[in-house]
Amino acid sequence: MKLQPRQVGDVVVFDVDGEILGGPDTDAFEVAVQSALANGGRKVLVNLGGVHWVNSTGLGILIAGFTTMQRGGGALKLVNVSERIAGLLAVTRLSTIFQSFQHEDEALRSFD
Amino acid sequence: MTNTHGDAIELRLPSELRFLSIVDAITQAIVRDLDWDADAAGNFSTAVIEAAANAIEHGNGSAAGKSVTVRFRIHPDKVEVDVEDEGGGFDPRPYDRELTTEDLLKPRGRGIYIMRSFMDRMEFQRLPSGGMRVRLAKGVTKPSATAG
Repeated sequence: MKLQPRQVGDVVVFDVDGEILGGPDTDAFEVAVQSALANGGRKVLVNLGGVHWVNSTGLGILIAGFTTMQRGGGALKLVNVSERIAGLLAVTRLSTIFQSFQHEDEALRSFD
Repeated sequence: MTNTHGDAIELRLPSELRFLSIVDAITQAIVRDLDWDADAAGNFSTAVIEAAANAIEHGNGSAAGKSVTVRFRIHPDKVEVDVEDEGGGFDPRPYDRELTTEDLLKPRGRGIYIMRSFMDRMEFQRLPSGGMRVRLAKGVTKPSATAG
């Protein structure tokens, strides 16, 4: 997994590329979320447009980021979720936890 | 990858998660060759990746020198996949259950549920060598026939 943060207004967008599958990805994602919080960021948008698939450990990484943001008084949402990942979110009922959007503009507006 | 019996394909992987992309590519290639649609192929591959990830991390403990074997058998009516590790085995029963509302925000514990959800059949077997085999099976799914 490659993760590149960028600032769009008061939203930190994580552009993720590759697969989210555990191992070093776990620490990399958590460090990025903690860094956003430490810098005052309370709105994180995870762009999954470059992610082909996620396994259950990858889902756990996203959940850990979600709960870290929530505990810090912020929010973490998803954008550009493929049909395959959307299916996995649905079957695990995580679609009831994560707000997901098709387009970045729409996702950014949802934080207002 | 070797095609050992005409309808069987076997893949042997080192215990490193980065090789799961190869498992995904081969799994999708196999079922797309059977004309499965993208959704069915993606779900099938997600389940196989889950089994292989479990074998790498929980079965083999990501140990160098231990391998994971993924074996596909293509039948007229179904595709079977065996995923075998070289670990010490485990009891899967506590993990084979429905997800509850309390489970939703837990970071772990979904792997077996995902495999069972995306497959028609899933069973665990203890290998004589001590490792575990998970056997997955999914019926052949063909795109809807169109008139004309």
